[in-house]
Parts: sequence; structure tokens; C-alpha cells
Amino acid sequence: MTHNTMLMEFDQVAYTYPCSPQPALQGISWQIPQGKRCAVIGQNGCGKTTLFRLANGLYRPQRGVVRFSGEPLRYNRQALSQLRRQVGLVFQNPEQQLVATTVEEDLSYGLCNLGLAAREIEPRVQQTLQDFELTPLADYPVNYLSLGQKKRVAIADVMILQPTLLFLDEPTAFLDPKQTRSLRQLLDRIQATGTTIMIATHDLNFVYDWADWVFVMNHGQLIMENTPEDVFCQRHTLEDLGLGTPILVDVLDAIAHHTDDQGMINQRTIQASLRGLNQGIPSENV
Amino acid sequence: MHHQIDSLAYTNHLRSLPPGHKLGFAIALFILGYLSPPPLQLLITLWLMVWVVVYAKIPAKIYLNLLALPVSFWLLSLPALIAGVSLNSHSTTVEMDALWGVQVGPLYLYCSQQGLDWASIVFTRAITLTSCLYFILLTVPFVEIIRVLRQLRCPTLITELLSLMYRFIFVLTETVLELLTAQQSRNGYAHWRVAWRSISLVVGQLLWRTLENYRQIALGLQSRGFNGELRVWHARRYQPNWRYIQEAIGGYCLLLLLLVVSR
Repeated sequence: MTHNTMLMEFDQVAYTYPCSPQPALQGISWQIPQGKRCAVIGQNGCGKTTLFRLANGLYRPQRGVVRFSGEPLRYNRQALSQLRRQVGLVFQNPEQQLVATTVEEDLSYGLCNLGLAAREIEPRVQQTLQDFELTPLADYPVNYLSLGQKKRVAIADVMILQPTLLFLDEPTAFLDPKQTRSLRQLLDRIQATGTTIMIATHDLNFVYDWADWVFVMNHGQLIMENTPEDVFCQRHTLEDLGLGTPILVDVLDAIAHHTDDQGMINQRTIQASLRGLNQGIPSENV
Repeated sequence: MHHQIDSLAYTNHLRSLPPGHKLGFAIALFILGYLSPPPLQLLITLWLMVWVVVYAKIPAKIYLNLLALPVSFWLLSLPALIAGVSLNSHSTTVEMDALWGVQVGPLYLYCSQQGLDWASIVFTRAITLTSCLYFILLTVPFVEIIRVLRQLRCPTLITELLSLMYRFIFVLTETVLELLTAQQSRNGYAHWRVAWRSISLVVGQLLWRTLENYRQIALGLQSRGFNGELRVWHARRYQPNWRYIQEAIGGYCLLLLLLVVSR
């Protein structure tokens, strides 16, 4: 793959939190391809969040280089402000990102920081309110929103700047199935505008369903990257990493195993084998 | 209660009026109420009650409960206001002032006429002035008060602090409630000795969590391009209502006239 199709690149990046005995990232190298739906999976503490914060210029790598569109990141105020306009980051906890008191004011915050005039801000805020179905909540105080709504606002806050690369840290955490579905539709619409999306998540079913490219991390290192089909067929590696496989992959495997020569499927043995499988796997929302 | 007042401010029927009008009205009434004699003050209180309960549609029960607050403070301070103590029960000032008295050893305890007058003045004044403040509190959301302050060129440092405080009071109460519920479910308040321990844990945890929260929010602000000032934009979708403006100005002029006549 050539340089110009890679939106962001990490080259031998290492980062250790202050006062922490272990490095969060140990010389990781990876590249985010443009236009793909990317997902990072890995256990808690494997360095996903650190990676995202490095990408947003919130942390500075102690070793190695982060490149955006081929250019190494610079850490002065102006360059960072420019970077954060193009690389959006949605935190896991929306509470940490909502700063103003009403939805509309919160949306305008990022635009005001760019020093835009009110007549430029207004149409963009109105458009974003519409795109994210937030118009009825425009003048609503942020405190009284539900968690799902807060998440929606947090994503809208970042998307209003029209970034080319969007990082979402655990977007499905705390969401119910219906909210997760509407998040998916939202992501599809965002992707349709040409934004590359990168998600860190524990929800393997979501990854299998949504992503085109999957990164697997462990202990601050990139273990593998591939299409979801190729990643999830490596059952043993994933189980060693404590990750397991999406339920659909399990079912397909079980069907393949328990189909006899005549092509008959024995449902009972399939169910028994699936139950056995799920016991060994850290709980996934089935 | 915090939550309730705040959510009423967002849902009341006078929400669409420009906040400047409501604030101006309440402040003007506040000044008038301060200068008026008690009968006029009661009139102002009743008029404001019409505004809050009938026009803004704040449930009467909640409003009366809120008004009971200054009344209860007044009741508490009543003994101090009307009771008098003197060593000499026969001095003329005491005899003139005492409505009723009793000799306890060397002291003469009595109920003072002057104190009673004071108490009634304090009562009407307290209830009128708090009515004005409640009108603001119940019909103007805090966010809009901050906006008006901003328009009036209040220093940004103050308006920013106010809006951040407002935003994070809710984060704080939520954290406290979570901690309290978690402790309750683990029998943390079974009896008073355990309860004290639990409370001390809450305080300690709160400090720690506040610091942690601060760090995260600082990152959140940075990632959204914070550049030293919290500037936001909002649409103006207020609609002045002529009927209310007429009543406010007309009523105010009438009260002012009454005040001048009564002087």
C-alpha cells in the first residue's frame, strides 16, 4: 500500500503514563487506511484509549512518530488546533466532553474555538441539529439528556467540525440495543460523507457486523490486522488473548462441525456445543 | 429540590419570553417592594403569585412550599424579635413597650410592641422580596441568566465560572447519589456508627473522583480545541408577548402610583 492512501500512521510509537510501571504502548506501528471502517479490539488496558489520545494530539509520544496525511504531528497550539479539526475524538464517557449548558451551545463550542463569526456558525449548528435529529433538544439543558442522547450530542459536537478521521472510544458502551442500532445508522451516514471511522470496542458482534478492517491489540502491541472474516477465524489466538469470537462465527463453525455426510444438521448437538463454547468465553452480549 | 426548580425553569409557560424582560420586571418589582409599605407589599406578592402560578403554570403546591421557606425562617427568628429582657421592670421605656410580661428572679421578660411591629414589617418584606427572586428562579433558566449577564458585559471569568459550576453541580450530585446508593445496597447505613463511616468514605471518594474528573474534562476540553475561553453561540428564539408586557408595565405603574399616594 502506498503512502497517500494512509490517513494516519504510527511509527514505532511508545508511551508510558507518568508513575506507571508498565508502558501503555510499546513501539507500536500501524496505519489507518483511508475510507475504511476500522475497529480496534483488545482487552481492557491494552492501550486502545492511549492510542486514540495520541492520535488526537492529547498525549505526545515518548518515542516514535505519529503522522497525519504523511506529515509528522507538530505539538504547538496552532498545529494542534488544526489537527483536532481534522481528527475528531469521541470519548467513552460523553460527560467529559460536554462543556456548555444547552445542546445548541455545546455544538457551537468547537466552531467558536475556530473563531468563526455568528453568521457562519448558525447554519452549521442548524444543519448538525437536523443531521443528528437533535432539533427538538436544541435549547434543552445537557444535564437532563439520557446517556444515549448525550452520546449522540458528543458525536455531533465532533462531527460539526467535519473531520476527515473520526475516532470513537467504546461508542456502544452503556447503550441499549435500540440505541446501538441507531448509532450504527449514524455511523453509516457519517461514513457516507467520506469520513474514515475508527472504533475501539469490546462488542465483537458489532465489529463483525460493521467493520471492514480489524486491528487486534494486546499489551500495547498490535498483534494482527485483517478483514473481520480473517481475524475471527483465528479462534485460538483470540481465545489466548481473552477475546473470544462473535456469536455468528461460533454458530457457523458449529454448523460446519455438526453437519453429517448427508448434509443433515443436528440442532441438538449444535446447541450443546455452543453452550459449551460460551462458558469458556468472557461474557459477550449475545 | 434543586433539580425540580431547575427543570421547572425550563418547562414553565413563560419560557419563551425574553429573559431580559423577565429579569427586568422582577428587579423593578424588587426595588418597589423594598420601598413599599406592608399593604402594597402584600399586593405585589399576590400579583407575582398570579404570574407564577397562573401564567407560568408552576404547580401551586410547589410555589407555596417554596414560600414556606422564608416564612419558616421568620418563625424561627420571631422569639428573638418580639421578646424583651430587662433588669428593671419599672423603667418607662419598658412599660411603654411591654404588651405583657413576667418577672423571673431579677429579670423581667416581656413581649415587646416595637418588636411585634418589626416582626410584621420583616414578614411582609421577606415574603415580597423572596417572591421576586422566586419569579426569576422559576421562570428564567440559569443558562439564560448567564446569557443576560454576558450581554451586560459581565467579566467573562465570572460568566464562565458560573456556567461551569452549573454544569458540574449535576455531575457532582450524580456522583454523590451513585456512591450513596452503592453504599445503601451494601448496608452502609444500617446504624449510625456504620453510617458515619460510610459518609466519611463518600467524602474521601468524592475528592478523589473530582480530581480524576477534572483531569478527564481537561482532556475533553483540549480535544475540542479549547483556547482559553469558553465561547458559545446560541439562537435567539424568544418572543416578546404584548399582553404580558402591557400587564407588567400597567400593573407596575399602578403600584408606583399607590406608593406615591400612600407617602
